[in-house]
Parts: sequence; C-alpha cells; structure tokens
Amino acid sequence: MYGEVIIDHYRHPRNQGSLDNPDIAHEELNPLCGDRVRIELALGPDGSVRAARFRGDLCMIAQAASSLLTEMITGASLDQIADLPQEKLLEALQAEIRPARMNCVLLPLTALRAGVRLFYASRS
Amino acid sequence: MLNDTIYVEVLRPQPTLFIFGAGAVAIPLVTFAKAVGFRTVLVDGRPQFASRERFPEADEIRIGIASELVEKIDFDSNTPVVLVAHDYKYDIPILKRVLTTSAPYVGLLGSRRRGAAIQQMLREDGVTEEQLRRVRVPIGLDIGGETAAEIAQHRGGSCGGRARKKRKSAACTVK
Repeated sequence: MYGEVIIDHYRHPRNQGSLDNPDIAHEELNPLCGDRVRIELALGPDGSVRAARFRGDLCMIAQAASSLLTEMITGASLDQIADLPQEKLLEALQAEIRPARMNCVLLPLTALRAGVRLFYASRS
Repeated sequence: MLNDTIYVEVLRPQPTLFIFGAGAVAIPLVTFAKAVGFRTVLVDGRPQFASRERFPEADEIRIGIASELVEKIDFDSNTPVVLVAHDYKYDIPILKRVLTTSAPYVGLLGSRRRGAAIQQMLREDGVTEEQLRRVRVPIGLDIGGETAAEIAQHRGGSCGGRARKKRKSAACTVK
C-alpha cells in the first residue's frame, strides 16, 4: 500500500530521538490528525548539519518522511536546507502520496524550515 | 496475642487515572473518574482538544509529544491507565512504555479486532505475551453503550472496579 521505503523507515526509523544540546529545535503539529513532530539539529563549526534527530507521534507516512528527511539533511548547509524542495522528499519516499496525506509528508519539512528560519532570526 | 484479630487499614494516596487521548470519550470519562475518587491526568498532543474549556474537571492536562511525555511518568500500582485516542501512533509507543511498569490497569479503546491488530504490532516490536495479556481491550463492561458518555461510563466502571479491588486486597485481617 505504501511502498517498501515507507514501510522500512516506519519500522526502522533512522535518527529517531533527541540531541543533548541542539542548536535548532522546532516542533510542529497537524491539528487535524494529531501528528506532532520535533526536529532537532546540531551544527558543526562550518554551520552544516552535524546531526539531525526527530521525535514525534506520527503516522506511518509522517514517520517515514521524518526519518528520510533527517538522513537527507545530515551534512547539508542551512542554506541548502532552506532551499530543499518538497519534491525531493516526495521523490525519496518512492510512493504515490494521495493529496489527503500530503500534510503527513510535509509536516517534518515544515518543522525543519520553521526551525531554520527562527535560528536565522535569532542571530540577526 | 496469636488469637487476637488485628485490622490493618492501608492508607494510600488518591489513585491517579492517566488518560491518553482528549477526544469525545475522554470528556465524560474524566467527569466519571473524578466522581468515583480518581485524580485525573489527561495527555494529548492537540491543544485544541486537550483544553481547560473541554476538561474543566481534569486535575492536570499535559500537552506535547505523548510518546515522549509517557516516558517521564512514574507509573505504579496506584496509577491505572486508559488509552482513548483510538490512534495507533499513540497506542503503540504508550503501551510499550506502560506495559513495562506496574500500572494496575491498562485499558485500550477499540474493538477486539483493533485490539488484536495493535497487540500484533506490539508483539512484532518485542513486547512479551505476558505483557500483552495485561491490555484490556475492549475495555470496560459490555452495557451496550453507544454514546461517548455510555462508553466512558463502562470504561470508568471497569477501571474503578479493578483499582478498588487492588486497594482492597492490600487491607487484610491477621489472625
């Protein structure tokens, strides 16, 4: 139904958990379905993502998307993250996502983008 | 002295009922649990549901990532738990945590079929059969309830009965 990638990342989520002292941490909620996720990032000296973690109450698609997203952004710069198109995450899931479930995919990306935006705002 | 009867009365703190899920069933459940002597703690990730307006009688409302909040709760023999979120993303992680504790009652909202599916997912995650046997699903007494209040009533009744039975067993007569 969901495809192998989604099932694999749901059953064996990568980077699930929390960081001790994250540089960026942001939580987002989908009020309709109750999915809730927090994305945490630790930055290296050059400003790139040294470690990424997620934690949440998530449906299968949202958990797989969170897991994949944290893999995709590890090692990336914040500028690259800010420009990360949602199509890239959708493509990585390798499944046809119905419009009604699109928010499940985008929730971790929304949390990530908001976290980065607030991080920049706090430093300017 | 050996032939004397000694009555032992055990005084325990007020039992605390942890309710996961702030949907329609939880509203009358909180009211009913309060009426039969429970302190009530409501946990949900959705502030628009787990609000003081909807749950004026709840002693405590905790909002956040429920699977994370549950790890910080010290469950013991005085803290029965009911899961009424009717959502596997809550049920699986919360049950995994609660079933490792001595919570005296663990009730899950849902049909037998849904319960079996959740238990199978837990089994695949390494939860033991002994732990799975502690999950009461469907919870409550079969009074043929259909409305949220009726469903809450038979959940509260079942939970209260078991918790009281546990407390009663602690009081004993020594000869």
